[in-house]
Amino acid sequence: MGVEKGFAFRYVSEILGRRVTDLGGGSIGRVQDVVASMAQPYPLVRGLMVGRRPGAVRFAPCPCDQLARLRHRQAVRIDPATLQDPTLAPHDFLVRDWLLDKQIVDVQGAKVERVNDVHILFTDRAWIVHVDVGGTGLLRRLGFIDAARRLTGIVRQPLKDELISWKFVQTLAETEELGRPIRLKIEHSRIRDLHPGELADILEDLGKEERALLVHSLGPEAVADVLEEAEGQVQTSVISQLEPSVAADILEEMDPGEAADILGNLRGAHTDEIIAEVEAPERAQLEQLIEYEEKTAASLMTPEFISVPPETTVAAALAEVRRLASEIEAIYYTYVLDPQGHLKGVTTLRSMLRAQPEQRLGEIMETRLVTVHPEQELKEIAEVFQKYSFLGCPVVDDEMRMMGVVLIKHAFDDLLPEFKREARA
Amino acid sequence: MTERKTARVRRLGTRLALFFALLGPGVITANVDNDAGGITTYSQAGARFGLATLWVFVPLCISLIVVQEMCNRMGVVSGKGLSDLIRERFGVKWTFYLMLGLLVTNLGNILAEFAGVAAAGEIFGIPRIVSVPLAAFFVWAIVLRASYRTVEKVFLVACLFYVSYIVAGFMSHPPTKEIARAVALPQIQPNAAYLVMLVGLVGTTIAPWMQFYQQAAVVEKNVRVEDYALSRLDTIIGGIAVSVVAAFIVIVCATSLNAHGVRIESAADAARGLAPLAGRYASWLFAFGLLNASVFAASILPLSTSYTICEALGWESGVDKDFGEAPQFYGLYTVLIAIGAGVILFPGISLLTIMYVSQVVNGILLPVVLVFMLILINDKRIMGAHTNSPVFNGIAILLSIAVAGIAVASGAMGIMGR
Repeated sequence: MGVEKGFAFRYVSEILGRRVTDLGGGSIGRVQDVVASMAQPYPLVRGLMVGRRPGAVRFAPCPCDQLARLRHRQAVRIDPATLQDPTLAPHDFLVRDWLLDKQIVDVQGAKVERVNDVHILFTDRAWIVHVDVGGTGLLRRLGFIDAARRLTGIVRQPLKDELISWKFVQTLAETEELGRPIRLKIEHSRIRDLHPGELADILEDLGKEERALLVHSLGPEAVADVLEEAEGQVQTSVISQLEPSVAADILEEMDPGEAADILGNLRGAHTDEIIAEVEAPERAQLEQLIEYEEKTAASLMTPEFISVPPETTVAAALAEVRRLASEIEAIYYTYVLDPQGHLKGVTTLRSMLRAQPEQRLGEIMETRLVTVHPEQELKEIAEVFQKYSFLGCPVVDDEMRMMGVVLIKHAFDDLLPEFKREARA
Repeated sequence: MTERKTARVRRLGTRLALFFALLGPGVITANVDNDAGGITTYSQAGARFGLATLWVFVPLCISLIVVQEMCNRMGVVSGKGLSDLIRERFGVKWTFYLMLGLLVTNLGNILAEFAGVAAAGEIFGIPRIVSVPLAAFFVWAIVLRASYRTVEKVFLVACLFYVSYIVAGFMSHPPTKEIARAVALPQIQPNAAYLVMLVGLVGTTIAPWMQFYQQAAVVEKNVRVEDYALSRLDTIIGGIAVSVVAAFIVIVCATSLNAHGVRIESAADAARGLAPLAGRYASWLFAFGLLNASVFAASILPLSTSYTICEALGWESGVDKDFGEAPQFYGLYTVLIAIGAGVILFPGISLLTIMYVSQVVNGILLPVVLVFMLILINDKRIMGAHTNSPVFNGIAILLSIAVAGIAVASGAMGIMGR
């Protein structure tokens, strides 16, 4: 690892614990920690914490030249006059204390990893460029690296490093040190690029504090999006981890049918606490949905759909679809209701696009309706979807009042076994 | 009035439902503790010293609950396993050597479980060449085929089978008055054999794997801090249940074997010895209990060991991952079971040597784990408002010193015993 073309790489494990002497060779102590400052794209190594014990250290500005050239067992020489108070600046963090051996999220690999070592690039200054999460880093930390290299040299299988570029590292530490909270910068944008299912997996793997930190920094909307894509068990476990008020904020952002499913799967006491925090209109809806029996049309349906009166023009209806497209899932069907909420007919997006803009919906709507009753069970709903290849099916009460829509998308997981059974029969 | 009553009943109902949902980690950990090695030691204690060691289960029960409660609390508050916390707080070197020690001592325990399967099987006339591979395959497959939640339910049912020892206890017509006196009035026999037995009882009852396992299990369960009181109840019930079962094993062996001067080497000896004294059914119940305990512990130990080690070293772990994602986890798991079952099938290998090494390492390991636990649980950065109270800390430290001292003594005996 010589210094060529003015740069060199070092691992932090090669620096930590090194002897530190003054210019005359008198002992100052050892390198107890490395201080780095959050910067883009890479954290800048500002200096070392040196001293005899971790509790009694002084700050030494980075002796970058020396560190880049350090030989085996060679001590770091520091002029005692340059030593400063060990106070951290606002964006500083301690590498050993807050990064080494801690959990990070590898955003590219979408995995939670433990940091075995930290890779530093020395130019005129020093930058943290990679974290090492592999077995080689582990061996280096344990002091077995030379022996391991000899062994692997014999079998001609050189050790490989598993480095993650800092660009893909999401740190998760939030620590209170020296009487003042210091928070490592969270780069939301990177985390938001992950597939929701992957993010849910990551949340599962984290400790409580880290999980809460990540959820808080992402905001309820983003987490709601994530949870809608996640499996039931992940949904409940994430929600049950959160403060009831935060959980309620997230559930409000979700599709009510989905939110009700999550609450239904939660253990009793939590459900009540969370529902109490939900805003009034959503709360009534949620409570109603939770009451419905499991695996009936009522429990599978979403109460959100697009509806217009029969005299609406196609142009106005399309405008309504456009207006609600970002909030409502079921945009392919527009339901025509009379003022009392009775279902009169249905139009598809396709039929509206093919009709004249000034035509009334009452003229073009389909009036031969296929509906399900709220108490109808999975098997019967499956038959309807099987027979008619609908994307969604309206749920109506005894008087044909529209209650909601069962979307094949929401019901798919539950319906799949039924479809298989049908196919076999 | 009635409305309020119904509301209260309903609230009680949700609390009860919540408790059963949280039940598991504490009860399972404690019951696995009554494994093949434990039953052997308890049988020996009863057969050799009668009821004279019975009192020790009271302080032992308290120590067990105090230690396990701390792990339980750390798991609930931090959402992290004990090996995670140790890695983050004490660095990779401590963690690595701790894990190495845990691997050795747990391997010893796994061997003992498969030896227990072999011995119990032979009482029912099943040769070990059949029973051991069957048990190994069952244990190995249960993890590959089932989710942890399902596995946990199976384990909870296995806990119920420990009742067989209590039934066997009553079948041996225990002298109630003498038992009460033995528990209430502790007496120490001033001879080496008795003291060695006391040390053995503590050594087998509080083992390092239990702390790692319970904390991991409680993390897996996602218990919320608000529900901690119920989770603690799980630990307390577990601790009491395990002590009662252990005491009954001592009582069975004391009232039948000791009364007739029958000496035993193993739990299987005890089961056989019971037949002419307490009847064939008592003997069968005893053997069935041993079989259940051995298979149960053999299912948990390899899983817990692999999980703990992989978590500590940052390898992917967990039964929800496949082999490609978590090769170290499945590799370790498979090797532990293969060695555990394999060694029992090769008559040439001395089980005793391995057991002694395991006992010595156990004695070194437990004090270190207890010290780490005490540091971690008093760390405000990890535990926030849930650190030990000063009084509890005092009790925990005293008990830890006592338990650690006894563990070291037990390890030293392992060395001298060779």
